[in-house]
Amino acid sequence: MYLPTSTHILPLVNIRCERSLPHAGYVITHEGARVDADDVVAKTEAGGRHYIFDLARRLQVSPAQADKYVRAKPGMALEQGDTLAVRRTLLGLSRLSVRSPAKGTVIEVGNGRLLYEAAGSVFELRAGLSGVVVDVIPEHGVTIEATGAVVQGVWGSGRQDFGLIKVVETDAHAPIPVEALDSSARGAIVVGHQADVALLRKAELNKVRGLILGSMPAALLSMMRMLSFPVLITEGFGRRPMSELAWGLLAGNNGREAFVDARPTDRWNGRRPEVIIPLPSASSAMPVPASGQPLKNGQRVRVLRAPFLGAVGKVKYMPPRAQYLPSGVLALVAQVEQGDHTTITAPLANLEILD
Amino acid sequence: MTTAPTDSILAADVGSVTTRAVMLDIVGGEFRFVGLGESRSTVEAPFASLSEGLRHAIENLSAATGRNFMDDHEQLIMPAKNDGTGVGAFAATASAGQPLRVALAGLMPNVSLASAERVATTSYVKVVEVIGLGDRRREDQQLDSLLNTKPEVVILAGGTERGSSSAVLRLAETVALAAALLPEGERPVVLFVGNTAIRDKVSALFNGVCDVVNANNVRPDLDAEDTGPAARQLARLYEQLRLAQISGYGELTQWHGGSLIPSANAFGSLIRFFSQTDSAKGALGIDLGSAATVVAAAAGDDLRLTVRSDIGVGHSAANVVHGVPIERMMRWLPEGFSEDEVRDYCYNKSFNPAAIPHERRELMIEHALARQCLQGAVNAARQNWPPRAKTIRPGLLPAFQTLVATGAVLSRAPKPGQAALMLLDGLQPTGWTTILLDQHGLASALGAAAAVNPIAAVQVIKTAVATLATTVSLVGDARPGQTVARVKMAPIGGGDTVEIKVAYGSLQMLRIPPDREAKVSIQPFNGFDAGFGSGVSQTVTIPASLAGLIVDARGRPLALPKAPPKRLAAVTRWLNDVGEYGVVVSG
Repeated sequence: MYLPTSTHILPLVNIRCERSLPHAGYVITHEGARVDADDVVAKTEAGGRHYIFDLARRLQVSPAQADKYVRAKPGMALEQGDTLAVRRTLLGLSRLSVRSPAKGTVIEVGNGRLLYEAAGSVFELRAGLSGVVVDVIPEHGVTIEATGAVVQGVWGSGRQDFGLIKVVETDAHAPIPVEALDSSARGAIVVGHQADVALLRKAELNKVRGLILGSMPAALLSMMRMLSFPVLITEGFGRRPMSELAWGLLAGNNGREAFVDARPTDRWNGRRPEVIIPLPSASSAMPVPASGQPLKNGQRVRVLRAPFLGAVGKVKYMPPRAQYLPSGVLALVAQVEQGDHTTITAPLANLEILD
Repeated sequence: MTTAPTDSILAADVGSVTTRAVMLDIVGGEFRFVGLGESRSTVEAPFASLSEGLRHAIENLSAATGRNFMDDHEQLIMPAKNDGTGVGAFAATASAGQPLRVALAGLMPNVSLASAERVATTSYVKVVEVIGLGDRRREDQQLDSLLNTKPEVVILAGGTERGSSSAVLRLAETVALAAALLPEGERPVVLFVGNTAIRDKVSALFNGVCDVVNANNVRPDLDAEDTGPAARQLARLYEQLRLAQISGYGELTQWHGGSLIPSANAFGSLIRFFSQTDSAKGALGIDLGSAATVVAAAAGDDLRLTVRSDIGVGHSAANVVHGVPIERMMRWLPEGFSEDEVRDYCYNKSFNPAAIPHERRELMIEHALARQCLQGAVNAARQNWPPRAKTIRPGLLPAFQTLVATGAVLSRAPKPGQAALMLLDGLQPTGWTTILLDQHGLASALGAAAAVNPIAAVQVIKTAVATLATTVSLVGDARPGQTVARVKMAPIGGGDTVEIKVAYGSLQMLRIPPDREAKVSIQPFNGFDAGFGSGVSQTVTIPASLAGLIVDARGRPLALPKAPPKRLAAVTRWLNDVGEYGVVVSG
């Protein structure tokens, strides 16, 4: 019995998408609410920086004396420049004062020291996709339910955004030519097979909202993380086209709105980078298939390593005994029948379920 | 915990990629390794439970041994029944789970902070923040840094016994302030390993804020270090804060009747056993895993454990090349590999850590990756060799007599010479070494079994590991091509005697007929040291092994030829002569 990983590339399913704040805040929508992609569903304030003031030194007194010159109490909200502590000197003609460096709150005072927290910036969490709020996670976010297509990726640059899909049809075995990314790509989620540095720069200049690619060289990882829009890779690192399955699904939805969640894979909670394309559903869509099923004959699989990297087919037979691979490694294998009815043999460890 | 006497033991190891279940039973009056069942680990999503993978591994073990271990309710049958079902005892180790996020706080960078860092390297941790007296940041910047990194454990060190107290308390105040500002549930546990005279004051600072755990002062004196008790406390914290949070842990500990031992600690116990019983010059253990690499160095009963949670050939493969010149990987490969290909391979491996090389080309990249992991791990361990482990030259690996290696990339290597070459290149042993290979990945599980029944582990390990090779690594200086030793090998019980002159820069493998010991005489010249002293000749009997005798005269530290054509030629020669990779030389 072998338990492979699985990747979802599904044309129409019931999607439940959890949208959560980076840290506790407040939810401004409610269960049952219908939301659009750009609706704000929750807000929080990013923690501001802290300041520790050595009042005793600044006021030129002992720590024990310093506390009596403090004007601000713990919990007080202050504006920039407000007085935190003051001491008159030279018979009242001069004074030593400590002022707040920014808008914020006094946290603690004692032993001649004052701890101050500057106010952080407000972070607004948008729905990202159109759907219905089916669950509110108090102080943290919501779960949105929608019907639509899902394409899971391998790697994401970390950002999230939404926009209309724009498929760029070019040679699948080469980076998208820079000239193929014209002004119509502005604000769009661009879908292509491969990209290079020049294309990434052009995408930044053209203010695209997202980039979905088959592959990218790992040498460009740092650059991709710096881009202002999300980048999602469906196949892996290197130079290879997007799988026909993913390409067909994305191309078939050209011009539709899509949500690109390019947050990195989290192997502990199962989150994967993914593209969600909300679609109206006349009939009730099926739920996303459960992951973690044992590999069985007849299952659709994708090969993860050379020489059949990216090949898709159905498991035909799993011999009970391990076999020697061309590398010399001894491993359990499966015979996989491809769409053209040719059969390849690949180690079980190099297969993932594709559903 | 289940106690001896037992006549059968089921030992399990839950790794980040593979879960193994091992059956030990009495055969002919001694415990023997009877069978192994493996499954993909299920600690990660979508399972997020260690029991699913363990059950699959036990099912596979049942299929292999024909013995039933589980009842109708999928519970372990224990003790064993008269009908042959079940087991007498169960033991388990685990290394799966995210590394603990740890912050270090100490006074002097080369004193208490260095000791705190050595404590941190003994377990599966990621050091996310370091604060100390050498820190040029203001206190409020240190505070924000602690708040942003949210450590789960803070190792607080500083002050010798009867030494500094006020500076340590100031440091503790900063940590306490940060802990108080974090929401409840996100506050760290403080492991205080400083001046024991101020334990009460430190505890008072954290009272009502977070838990404090004490261990012996890691620096009782400026010249003395005592990291053992702190390391044991950290291992307990790893178990409580990480392993105990994994679904299925409770069930496993019920079977076990005790705690789940971190794999690195179990592996360390096994290496200490080798050191105590077999190795006058100490033993070195290497566990090359998917997510982490463990180095266990022991001399007598002194064990030094180094865990690199960021280095491995699977999950952590990308870390090995991230931000590191790719030339370090390329130097182990012959002609025809591009930097992009090698880098992309490592990143893809991180996302599919269970994948295996289908073609020889990928096998060679994977083995280059293994060399880099071994080198990174041994470099981290370099500051922490047991004092009794003697080095031939400062800075080199001590001349450990026994090297025990475990990890799928080594045990799955198609040729024994490939595993031996990875270890020689990555670790660069010195002197005379017997390399033992844990072919079935039993080492950690046996470490766990030792906690249940030490005799069982002792009896099994002798038969469960294979002797991979005997290596003699010569240390000295010479010109390339200059003869630095003469070696004569005579198989015991018949067979051709082989005599070779060893040239500086060469690597030679002398095969021994299977299952045959051999008498080997080595005569080093020109001040070269083969582990017995400069220029000292010696005759020893070496055991039968998979790869034979390997004489490494490439120099220590190993310096590859600088000119690319010469380097490629040398690397290709070694890969083919010892590794049997069959690299075709162009032109």
